[in-house]
Amino acid sequence: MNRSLIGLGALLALTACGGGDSAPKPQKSTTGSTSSSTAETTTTAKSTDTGGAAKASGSQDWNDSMGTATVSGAIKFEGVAPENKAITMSDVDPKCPGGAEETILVSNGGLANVVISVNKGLDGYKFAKGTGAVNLDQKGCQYIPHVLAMQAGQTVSITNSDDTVHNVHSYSKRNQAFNQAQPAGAGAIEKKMSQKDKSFPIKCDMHAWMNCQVVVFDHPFFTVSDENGNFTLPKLPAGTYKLVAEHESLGKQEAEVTVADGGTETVTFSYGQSAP
Amino acid sequence: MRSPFTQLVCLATVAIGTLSSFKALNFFGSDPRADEDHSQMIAEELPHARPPRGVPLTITEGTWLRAPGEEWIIQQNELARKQGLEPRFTEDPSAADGEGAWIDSTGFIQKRYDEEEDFWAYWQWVGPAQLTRGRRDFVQFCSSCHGLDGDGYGRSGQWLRPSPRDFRQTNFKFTKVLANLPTDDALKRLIKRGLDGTPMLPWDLSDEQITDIVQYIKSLSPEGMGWRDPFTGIGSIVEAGENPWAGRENFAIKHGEKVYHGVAQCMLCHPGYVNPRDLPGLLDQPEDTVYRENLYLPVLKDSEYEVLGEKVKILPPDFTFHTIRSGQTPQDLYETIASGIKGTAMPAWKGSLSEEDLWALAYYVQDLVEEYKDKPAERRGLMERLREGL
Ligand SMILES: [Cu+2]
Repeated sequence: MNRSLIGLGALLALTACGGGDSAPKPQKSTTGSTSSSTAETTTTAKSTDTGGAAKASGSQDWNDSMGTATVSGAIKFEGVAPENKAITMSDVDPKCPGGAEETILVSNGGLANVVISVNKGLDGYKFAKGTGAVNLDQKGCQYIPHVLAMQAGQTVSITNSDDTVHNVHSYSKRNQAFNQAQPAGAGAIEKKMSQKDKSFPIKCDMHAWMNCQVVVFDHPFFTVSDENGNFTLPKLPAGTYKLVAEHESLGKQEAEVTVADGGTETVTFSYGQSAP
Repeated sequence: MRSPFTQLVCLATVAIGTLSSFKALNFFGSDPRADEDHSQMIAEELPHARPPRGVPLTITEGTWLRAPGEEWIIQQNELARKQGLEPRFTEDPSAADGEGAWIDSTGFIQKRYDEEEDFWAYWQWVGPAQLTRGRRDFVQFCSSCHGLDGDGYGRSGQWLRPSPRDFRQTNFKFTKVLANLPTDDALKRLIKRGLDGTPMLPWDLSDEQITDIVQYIKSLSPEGMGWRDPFTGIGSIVEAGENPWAGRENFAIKHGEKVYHGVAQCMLCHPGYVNPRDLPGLLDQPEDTVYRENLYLPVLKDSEYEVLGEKVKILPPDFTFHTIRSGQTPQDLYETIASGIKGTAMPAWKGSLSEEDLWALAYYVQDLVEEYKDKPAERRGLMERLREGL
């Protein structure tokens, strides 16, 4: 972090007022090297593209029609799935109906709520920000969906379908964290997720059992496994990718996959007692 | 023994207008002498600021700290115009590599690019002289509780509850802002007001001193956190707007009671203060609905704060018993309720309740405080009635 700020000490020492409080002279960017003789002549290492993605040099703008390959597959859960404990809610809030824990959801041997995404192999493309909104609902004093994957630039629209109050407490890192109350009947809380963000929880402090996971990607190649553990990543360009599967409590797994234009590859991840 | 930089330092400092003492500045350059010498000399010149032996007081390097964003900049310009002053920032669409930026005429605030994070944000330059002044006053006035390095574990603070803030956690409870972190002005107001019911006193220091201390406190942010996090949001104190209940305070209290136990359900965490038999009516529920046990007591809640590496739980206040920390006027309470309390279960309510409901809550809470303050017998009576559901 802030590697770009390195060298300011040196810049400062070179300004007319070493050790004083005068700021280094305004400059275009902070990427100046320590060897530059004055702040004014600081070179900028950054390209002039407005996206600011230095790594994007030589890359092309992505559009959907460029991807014709598909990676699909399944998340298996080996062994006996843990029982999801019932949650008694009425002793905290009589307006909550009661439910069950949903951290590990297994159906037909498949594990739901695993986020699958392309992690490496997309360096050749530049992706526009995502658009539109995705919904996160509070219903029956639980979150729907329990795991939400979205693209940077999209808005998460948080609604309250319950006849009770919740507080939406987000622990996002690169996007502004917040803790906003949402009584019954209050309008949706709209939060634009402008930056990619590693998986973070959104919780309700009033109903301590309420939690969900949100992850924000800076590209469109991600999905969440369905209730039977199946997933599909369509519209990929041909290439070799590192695929990452991430479950909120069972952790991360990786796989490498190569797809050709128009082709489909199958990848299976395996979690559970017999998993490594 | 004068630093060769002295004169330049003085010029620079005069230019930014935060200079309190020319004399003290002799020691604040990037001076190669050992810290102990500095301590010694400062102690000679300013006997009240004698630091514990071996504790360095001088900071030789300045630093960039996150500044508030465009909204704040525009506010500052408007404020300046209102006072008939030249606005400090001009908009330049070609600045910051074509990103567009507000250019600060003094150069202290700049839009800067963080290469690793690929992100543009406003940063504020804080020089070593100001940091040293802030450090000196911090050691003098704050360190006995907040620790010599701001870890919240000073000699006098170790046994205090609530524990003094650990500034390296970069989380602050009563800033009354909607963003993660407060503006300098918001933090200064907190220091000047203190926190009632805690050993955090209202500090009657000069504005310059508090400004310097605030810069020093901000500089305690670890790498990638707080004021060293490019993604941090910094906001001003939430605006209270016009009081919709002016002249109708009694109605406000009555309505506040309804909001508290109805739509806002404050009693999920704070105590309920009405007869449990009245709750179903307020909540539109069947008469035989059973509410949480000990409804007349608050519920201990998780927080993000750590003391000695352990997360601490926080008890939401019982307004008839605990001292309200950050102001007891309806406006103060409005600000606290509207903005929430960072790092705790208390959310922001602004935008989620109507302004009328928010102000009514503030009046109701104030009424609870006033009604039972220093009246143990009355409060005991209330508690008994609530406990027994009478
Ligand atoms: Cu809730």
